[in-house]
Amino acid sequence: MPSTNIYYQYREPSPLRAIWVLMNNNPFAVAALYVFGFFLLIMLLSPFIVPHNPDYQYADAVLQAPSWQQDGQIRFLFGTDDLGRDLLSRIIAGSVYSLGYPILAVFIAAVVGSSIGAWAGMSRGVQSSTLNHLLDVILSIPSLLLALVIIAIVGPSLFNVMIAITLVLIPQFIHSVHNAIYEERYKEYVTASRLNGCSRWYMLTRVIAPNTTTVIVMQVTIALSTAILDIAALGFLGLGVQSPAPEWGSMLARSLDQVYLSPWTMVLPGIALFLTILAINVLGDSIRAAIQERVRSS
Amino acid sequence: MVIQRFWLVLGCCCLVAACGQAAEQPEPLRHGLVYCAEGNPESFNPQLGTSGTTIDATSAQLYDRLIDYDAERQQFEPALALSWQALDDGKRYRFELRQDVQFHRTKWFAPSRPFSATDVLFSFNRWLQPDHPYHHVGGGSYPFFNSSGLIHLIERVEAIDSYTVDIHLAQADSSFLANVATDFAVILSAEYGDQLLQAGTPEEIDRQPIGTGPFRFVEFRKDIGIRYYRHENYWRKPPGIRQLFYTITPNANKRMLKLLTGECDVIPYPLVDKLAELSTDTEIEVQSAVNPNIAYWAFNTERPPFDQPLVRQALAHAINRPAIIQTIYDGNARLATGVLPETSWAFSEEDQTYPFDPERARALLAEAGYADGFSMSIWAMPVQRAYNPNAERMAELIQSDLARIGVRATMVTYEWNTFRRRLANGEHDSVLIGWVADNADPDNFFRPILSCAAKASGNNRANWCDPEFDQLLIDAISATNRDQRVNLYQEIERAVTSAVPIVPIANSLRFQAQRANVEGVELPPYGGLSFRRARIVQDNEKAEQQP
Amino acid sequence: MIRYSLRRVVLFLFTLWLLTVFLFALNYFFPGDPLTNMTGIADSSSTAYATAMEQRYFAGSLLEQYGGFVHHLVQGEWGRSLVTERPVFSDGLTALGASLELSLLAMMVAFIVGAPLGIYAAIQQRGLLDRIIMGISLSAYSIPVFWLAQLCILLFAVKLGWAPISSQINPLYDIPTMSGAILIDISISDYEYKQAALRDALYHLWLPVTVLAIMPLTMLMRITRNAMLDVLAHNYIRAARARGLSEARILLRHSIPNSMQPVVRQLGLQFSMLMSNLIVTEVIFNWPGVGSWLVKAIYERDYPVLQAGLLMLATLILFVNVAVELFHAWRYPQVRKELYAEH
Repeated sequence: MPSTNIYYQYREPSPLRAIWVLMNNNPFAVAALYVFGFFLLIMLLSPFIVPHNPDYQYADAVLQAPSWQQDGQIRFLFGTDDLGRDLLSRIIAGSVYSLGYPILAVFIAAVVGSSIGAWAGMSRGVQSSTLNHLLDVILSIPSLLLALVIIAIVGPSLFNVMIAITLVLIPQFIHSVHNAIYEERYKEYVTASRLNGCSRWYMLTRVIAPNTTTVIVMQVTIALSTAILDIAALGFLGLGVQSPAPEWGSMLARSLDQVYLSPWTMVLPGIALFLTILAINVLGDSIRAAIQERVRSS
Repeated sequence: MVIQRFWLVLGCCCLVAACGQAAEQPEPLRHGLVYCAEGNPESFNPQLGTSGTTIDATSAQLYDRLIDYDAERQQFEPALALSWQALDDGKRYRFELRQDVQFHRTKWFAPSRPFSATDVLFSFNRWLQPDHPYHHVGGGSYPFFNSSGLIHLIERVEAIDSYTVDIHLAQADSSFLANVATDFAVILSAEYGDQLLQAGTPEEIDRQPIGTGPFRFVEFRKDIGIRYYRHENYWRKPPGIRQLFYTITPNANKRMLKLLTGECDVIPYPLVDKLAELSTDTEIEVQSAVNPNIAYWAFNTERPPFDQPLVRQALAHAINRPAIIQTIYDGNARLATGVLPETSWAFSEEDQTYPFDPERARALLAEAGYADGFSMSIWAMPVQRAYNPNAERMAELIQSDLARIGVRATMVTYEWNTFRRRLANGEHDSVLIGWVADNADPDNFFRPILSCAAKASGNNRANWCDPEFDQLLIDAISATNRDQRVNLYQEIERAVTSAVPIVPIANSLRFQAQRANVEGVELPPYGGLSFRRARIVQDNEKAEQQP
Repeated sequence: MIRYSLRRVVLFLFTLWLLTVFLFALNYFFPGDPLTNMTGIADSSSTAYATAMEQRYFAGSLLEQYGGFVHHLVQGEWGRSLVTERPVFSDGLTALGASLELSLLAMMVAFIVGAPLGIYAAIQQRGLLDRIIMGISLSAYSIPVFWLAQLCILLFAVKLGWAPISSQINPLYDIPTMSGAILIDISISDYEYKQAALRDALYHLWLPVTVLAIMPLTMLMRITRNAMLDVLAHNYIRAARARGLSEARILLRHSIPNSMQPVVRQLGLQFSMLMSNLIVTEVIFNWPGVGSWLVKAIYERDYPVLQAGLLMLATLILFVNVAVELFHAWRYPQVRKELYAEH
């Protein structure tokens, strides 16, 4: 694109923006973004768009097949479950538990984890290296296992699951932010600004942080897919969100009792879970690819 | 090397997958039977428990009783006792014992003598005498003998000679023989007891059991299964199968699928709503048997606010029981009209229950001072029972019914044995549970679950103790005229209705499904399952049968 | 190498020590009596409780208690289960055997199938197959394992009848449990129907192994492809081509061995992820391994078992990670230089 400026002035796009541009060229990434946006919208609007009360039991329509099957009714688009509750409404309402709460957990973990990571990244010497080794170790233990232990201590409930997942995600953020800052802090531009006499705070927030945003964004996508999977897995094991909350994992678990004759009760929540995670993973993958591309081209 | 091995494995997998089962089954499979049980037994001694799971896994397989009850002909049959007679106006019973009955010979015990009067004394005194060396082994609580009153009824057991035993009673009691014939009154080996006592490991008697039953115990792995082998020297005709395996499969749907794939030969409590589909499959047969049972919702009357009858009545009005029958039992159950089921001779048509009426429930709650409702827990048992195919679903239904009158209910469930232990401790607000009668006497529906004695033994899930009610029960059991008893039991029903320690929900049939080539697995109306007459019809036999 | 190995081993031991501290602390975090949580002796008035109290220095300071705890831990006295009252350690070992069998087989399948597919995708770069393989791998990676396992059971076991629904072997084969790993148990037993039992065990094994292998398989495929693409872009490959080496020779002698380096490095991480799926898979397939043992213990509040399950899984994961790192450093010396340079 020819520059319309009289003076030649090329403004380097911010890392985030550069990646956005690169991702826009990838149709899969765009599709994933739309899917994710769709689920996000559903989640935010869920109280207003559910066709039925997700907890209301229609005693006359127990295990009703989805509307596209022969014996389905249009009243229940996705059919009903074994207590006669509308499955579509439950999936929509469940997005709050299976998508909304993971987002919240990731947000808290990101804020806490990044702050600790930044502090550790700026500090030097023994404390930093010890922390790094320790984190390596903690991260090699699967998050689900750690969450299970926390649940075993505090008992299963929505609040406790949130605590468990948030606690489990924090080390991941500490680790990635710490590493990102560690990598940046000996680069020349940082040294230059240090020689300029910038304060440590200024260095962190204005000099280094902008160059670590992409790493954090990528970590957010990884953490989000982990959080969704773990909350669903805990729900599946009966150790997560308790009934009658329409969490997708626990919906899958309870569908096992009638899966042979009413497969939709298992297939539909599973598809919702699968599509959400797939969208997030494709996004994360595209961001990673875009970062690599950017590094290569710069 | 590793890689080669891998391809070998993979190849085998494909081969196996492609061929399915080999044409000729190896011997263990042809002469073995897999029963997919719904849970782990608490122990291997039925004296210690009341759970149907424990009874099914132990009583009829490992042990024998002095006498058996034949429900079909409605009479007692000789088992380890050849004959019996009532003496001293029914205050003393004399049992002539069978000779040459062998105990199991296993890796951990080699019997040196056959069954004799010593074993009867040992088995009865274990729960009768608090100073018996084995009385406190395994917890020292014998819920059945406590709640049925047998502990107080029997004064002492006396061996006249090696094969004659006298049982002295405190007073004449018409239910004595019925109680001795239940699955709980099993005969253990005194010699084994002595051996363990000497070895200093008495608790093994309930873990590595020795009995005279048709099968001997081999091993138990929790959550995996129990293995039994045929007792070759069984005093009756030894069973037709050489090996019996109980696979622990708590999930009802998985049990049904495993029956379809042939991984289980027999399953208990198939899902009612799938029964129709199962029955059309020619490889699968579904049996049903009348089962004298009642599913109920019990309130822990010791905990506020459930100590107020008004609150209990409100909750009884709040739940939609017909919807429960439709959704949980798929219509395969009868809406309970009282505690006694239709099959009992003391049953009457009069409806003793509260109709579904949320308005009235709310009014009653307001009257009791809980206009804004309260929070409570509903304990739902984690296993299927004949009376309740899915307590957790039932709890969810009730949860939403209660929400309508402003009561916030949470569902609580634990593994079955933990669940029962905590229930006995009274940690619950309310619980969905039930009762299966051990004998045909209507007394068995009240005394074991609602009397003060049952409260003491931890079997009274409502923790409800009313001396007047207990007196009614005693009047009813000591009355001799049947009409008089029927009237007394009606009065008892009305007493339960007005106090509502429990809300009766349903009476249902007991179902069992099996592969078509399994024969002789009977469902007795009283007591546990027996594999004594089970056999597997071989393919070649079938061919012969068809001309 | 020695210095590096020592460092890794010391770090490993240090982590194990932290783990024991954590486990010790757990006994206090869990509801109930710490000594009961540790030993599984529920009756605090029994003589066994008093003996345990003395042996574990429960009258003394926390430090002494911790000493007693570690002492018993090392000796394999992990207490008894609160539910079954059986010794936890011996039960745990057989559970570990069953888990190891499943996870190692799955890892093997993942590596043996995933790596070649990744290499193939890299050679076909940007071709149709490459895109298909990558697309499938991303979707397979996103399927929740508990859903996948159920779908597989429904399809292969119930509809097609190619596999049984659960458990290790038809229980009528009376194989004594020694190691817990069913193939090993059958091999070392003197069972009459060994061949039939082995066939039956494989028939039971293939579905859980496949379900478990899918996630690491797809990950390894992606990693191999990317590593291979990196290697192929290097100058030495171009140089080899210029010298007129055949494509097959370049592939076998140069590109594949070099591309395996990042793959090997990832094996530890993949194993960790596999373990998290293992927990769920074992529960679904009724596999008598550590995962289902641990989950059952959580349901039943069986704290001695819970700790043991946690300790076993965590130690196994840490051990595999260290082993992979040591192997990686030994096999690819160039990495060591990086590691030294970093500090």
